This record gives sequence, structure tokens and C-alpha cells, in this order.
Amino acid sequence: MSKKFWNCLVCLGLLLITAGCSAGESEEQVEVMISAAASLTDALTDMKASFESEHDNITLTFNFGSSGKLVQQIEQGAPSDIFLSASKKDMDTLEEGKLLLEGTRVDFTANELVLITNKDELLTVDSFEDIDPSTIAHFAIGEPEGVPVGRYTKEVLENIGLWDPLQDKMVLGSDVRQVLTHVEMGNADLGVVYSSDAKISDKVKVLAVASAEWHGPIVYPGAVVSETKHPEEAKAFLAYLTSDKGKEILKKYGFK
Amino acid sequence: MLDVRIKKALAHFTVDVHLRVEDEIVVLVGPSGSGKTTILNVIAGLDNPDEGLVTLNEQVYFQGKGQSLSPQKRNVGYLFQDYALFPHMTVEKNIGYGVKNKMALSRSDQLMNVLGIGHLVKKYPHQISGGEKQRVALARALATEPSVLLLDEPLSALDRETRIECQDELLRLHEMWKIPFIIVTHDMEEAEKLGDTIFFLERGLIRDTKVFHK
Amino acid sequence: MSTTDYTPLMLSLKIAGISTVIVFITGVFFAHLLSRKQFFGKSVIESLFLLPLVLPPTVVGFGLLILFGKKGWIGSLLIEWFDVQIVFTWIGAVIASVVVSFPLMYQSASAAFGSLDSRMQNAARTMGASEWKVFRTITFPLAWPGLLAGLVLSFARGLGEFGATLMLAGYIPGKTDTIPMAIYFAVESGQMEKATFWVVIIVALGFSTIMWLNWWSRRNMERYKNGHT
Repeated sequence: MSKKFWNCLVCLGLLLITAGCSAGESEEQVEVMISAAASLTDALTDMKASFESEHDNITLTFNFGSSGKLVQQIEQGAPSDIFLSASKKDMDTLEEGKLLLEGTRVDFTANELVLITNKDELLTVDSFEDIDPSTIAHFAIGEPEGVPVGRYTKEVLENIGLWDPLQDKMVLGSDVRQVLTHVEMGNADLGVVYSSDAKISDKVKVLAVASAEWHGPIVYPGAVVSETKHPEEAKAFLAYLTSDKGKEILKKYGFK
Repeated sequence: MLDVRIKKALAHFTVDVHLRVEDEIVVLVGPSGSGKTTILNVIAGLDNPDEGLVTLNEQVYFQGKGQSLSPQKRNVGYLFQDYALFPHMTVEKNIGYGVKNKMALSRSDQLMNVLGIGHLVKKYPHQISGGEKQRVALARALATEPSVLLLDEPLSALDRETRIECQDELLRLHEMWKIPFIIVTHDMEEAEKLGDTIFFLERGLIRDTKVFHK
Repeated sequence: MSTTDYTPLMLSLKIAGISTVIVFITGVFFAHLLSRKQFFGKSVIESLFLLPLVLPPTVVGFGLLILFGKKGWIGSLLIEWFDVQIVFTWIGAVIASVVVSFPLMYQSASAAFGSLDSRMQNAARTMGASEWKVFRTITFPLAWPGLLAGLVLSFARGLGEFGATLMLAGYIPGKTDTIPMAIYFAVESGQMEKATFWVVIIVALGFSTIMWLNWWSRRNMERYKNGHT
């Protein structure tokens, strides 16, 4: 390997060390890194402004991704102060690995499953039970084994006895946004997504909301990561998230 | 008779020549980059002049500023520099490539015998010597029974001994064929041995003409 | 895994195979066409051809949805005229595969044609060969090593195609689940055994095609090496 390469590597290392030092020493400005589920993107971006105006010394930085991927990153030691997950299972993984600051875990919001169709579609379905497999060509859902929204959807459809009848109509998405895209572009007649996703799309309309009894609770747990250098600031944000102001913003984006 | 009157602008000078070639051997001599190959390409139809007239035995190959007969329709044999033998074909396939009928086929057999390459038919170009390649290329160019034969540096890749042999062979072939041969070379000795007429080219113009009566 | 479902293997081979045939013909056609012509805007067209190489798969997939979706520009016409639906079918997977592997074929073919000695073709022309005969008997066979490399690369790329395919063809078990999709969803759902099985299959497939290409080209280089006189 060339000498230049090593020089660069050393420089980069020094840069990281000095960056780390200055962040630690600075009393005024603290940067809080938040690893958050992609579905929270819009709500959190909105919240950033109002939170920072109340806490002059804290800057929020987000790293959005699927909850599963974020868990892997945190396990590999990626810098992160807070983890906001879209599924209980992923948060459990970190908790079992002792990667969370004890006593900080909290379910800060919840979501609902909704049945959606393209806004130009004339299909009249008023509830999940009303779905008639013979009238639709494609039914878009999340992949039921690995994708959380698909797991919940499977529970719902099994509960109302439509899982098997719909089998050969199903198109499985790799994430909830893909399910949304299939319906938005009119390629799938119906789809099941979170209410928060349906809310931000102006190309779909919500036909029905799934009863909470049909599926396990869709909760969003959040916690401070044990590796954090700023536990107080991180806790402050979690508190804000569960405050009335935080709840109001989340509600605006379709969360419960 | 081949009549060539052409003008063609190249990067650094303009080719402007007038050649009249009877059933003789004409040699174009000149330093490299003096427009020799361009003239051959224009006669073969692989390149077009800016303007001019190219006729062979009353047939118009090119006239005015762009009326050009495609190379396929011209009856021209062309022996390229370094021969351009098809590497993926046997000697037999190379020579027979442009042959259209049985009569021509038997003629190309005869040609191979004359050139002494009959034993090479099943070989590939990379399996034969430089002198053999030269003969194969000659046989290939003549197999289509052209009305004019163009030869671009036909002997430059050969050692001295083979070279003299091949020069004699060219003269013999011309005796047999009796069509215009136009040979490009930069070797003065060779030009004098082969040529009935020699044109000296420099920067696209004919500087001098030498006519021998052999 | 009690019974292994081999649909992904068959489907992958079918899709990559058909895609490779299409890509080979179109890639060779366009590369040959453009290799013989110089015109204004040629580099624009070439850049356009190579674009899928630099675009993220999801962008390509989204573009394909806009074109071939039920309400897409081409997709809606296909449904109206021929009652053929592209989206959520294996044909969609073929189209996605064609689009992402075309640049590889075009690039290989264009390099192969570009490196040919034009005197070979000219020699054939002076011997009266039509342009089609020149292509068939001279250009194509001489460019074949390069064309074959492009063919194998396109096949390998088609075999591994995932992102754009997932968007256009969707994931429908038994209908559009190619090997890469089977791997992706097996990993997502923690079925590591199943994922490993398919990874081994696709690695073996990709590895053996490329090994074969290397072996073949080394063997043939010997023949061609001295061939260009």
C-alpha cells in the first residue's frame, strides 16, 4: 500500500481524535446522534426545530434506516446516543445485548395498520373483512417473515380468515415504502401500510383501519444507548418525545 | 485503362493528382505520408475524394463531388499493407472468400499452383511464413478476377531474398493477367525493377514521372 | 428445510437467459451501428446507454415503474393493445435485467468493434462482400472474444439483479422470486440456512461462468494472438 494512503489514514485518525476531544470538552454545544426508524423521518425532522429552539446547547443529528439495520450498526459500535425503533423486537435485541442505558426504555408512540388504495381507484371496500379476493389483481403487503409491517399484516389477515384466500394476489414489499409505491402508482389495487405512511402520501386514500385486537401492538420503543457520552441531553430528548408537545407533532404525522 | 483525376484535402496538404494507367505496372514512390495509400483507397472506393473523376475501362467509379460506386461494385483487387489476411480462416477460405462461381474457383486453384501455395490450403495465416502470406494475399486479391490490382507496400515485410523472388513473381503475374497494377513503395530499387511508369509523390502532388520501355 | 423449492433457480436462469439473448442482439446491433458512424450527439447517446450503470438500482426501478407500470407510458398502452401486463410478472424481471445489463454488453461490444483492424473489413469489401456478409464473416467472428465477454458479464449481471427487479416485478413467491430475492428475504427474516443455500448456488453459478470465460478466452487468445497478421 502506498505511503500516501497511510498518511491519509493517520490524518483521518487524528481528525477523529481531535473531533472527539472538542466535543467532550465543549460545555456549550452538544451533538446528540439519533438512530431512528425510517418511518419517523418526517416527524423527527419537524421536531428537531422545536426541540433545538428550547435547548440552545443541543444539536440533533439523525441517522435514518430500517430498525434491523440500525441495530446491526449500533452492535458494531457506530456512534449513537439514542435509538428510536419501529419494532419491539429490534429494541429487545439491543436490551438483551446490554447496549441500552438501564431505565431509559420507553414506548413513545404507536401506529395503526390501514388498508389503502390509489386515490383514483373506484374500489369500494369499507373494512378489512370486505376485501373480496376475486375483485382484485394485486394486493401489496410487506414481506410477512422479515418486514415488520408484513408481520402485522399477516396477523390481521389470518385473524379475519383472508390470509389463504389472498395468497395468489400478494405482492410482497421489502419495506413499507415499497408497498406504498405499488399502490401510489396504481400497480396494486390494495395495500396495507402504517397510518403514518398513508398520511404523508397524497396519492392514496385510507379505506379502513385495522382493529388493534387483530395484531400485536405496533409500538415504537426508544432508549438511550449505553455507549453515549451525553446521557443527560439524550434523556432530555426522550422526555420531549413523550411530552404533550412531542405527542402533538407525532400525531400530526399519523402516529397514535 | 484506369483514369484517376482527384482532389482530396488531408490534414496537412491536399492530394491533387492525375494518373492514367494502361495495362502496365505503375509504381507510386514517395516518403510515408505523401498520400500514396489515400490514392489506392480512393481507387478502391474505401475513401472518397473531395472532387474528381475515377473511371476504369469506361465505367465510372467516382465523379463530381460525391457520386461514388461502392467498393463492392468496383472490380478492384487490393493487396493491403501487412496483407490483412483473415486470421480465423484457412488459406483456402481466405482465397475463396470473394469467389463467386465454379469457373473462378478452378482459376483460383490454378493461381495457387502458379504461386506455389497449393500445399498450404488447410493452414491458418499465423502458421505460414511472411513470403507465403504475401503469395496468399496476392492469390486472394486476384481470385475475384479484378480489372485492376492495387498493392500497398506488398514486399516491405519480407527479407531481401524472398523479396527478390516475389518481385519476379509479380512481374510474371502481370504478364499473365495483363491488367493495370498500381504498386505503392518507398524502395527506389524495387520501383525501378517493377515499374513501367514511376510517379514520384510529395505532399500529395506528382513531382516527377519516369517512363521505362521494357 | 425439508423440501427445497427450486423455483428461484429455474426462474433466475430463465430470466437471465432471455435477458442475455435480448441484450446481446441489441447491444451488438447498436455498438456496431455507432462504431461505423461519427455524428453530432453520438457521445450523448452513448452516455445515455451507460446511464443504468451509474444509477442506483432503485432509481432505475422507479424509472421502469413510471414507464411500464399499469398507468405508465408504455405499460398502459401494452395493456390496452395487447392485454399484456409487465409489472409484477417475470417479464418485468426480464426488462429490469435487460436495462441493467445492456450497458455492459454495449461497452464490451463497442470496445471489441473499435479494436478491429478496419483493413480486414475493407479487404472483404473489395472482394465484393455485402455489408451484411462483412459483418457475418469478418466483423462478428473477429470481435467474438470481446462479444463473448460482454455476453457472460451480462448474464452474470442479470443473474445478480435485485433492486430494479424487486420494484418492477415485485416479490411474488413462485412467480417472480429470483435467487437474489430469495436470499434477501431469507436474510431479512433470519432464515440463515435458506439464505446460505441460495448464496452457495448463486456463487457457484457466477463463479463457474466467469471461470469458464477466463479459461475460454485464454485458450482462444493463443489462436488469435498470432492471427492478426
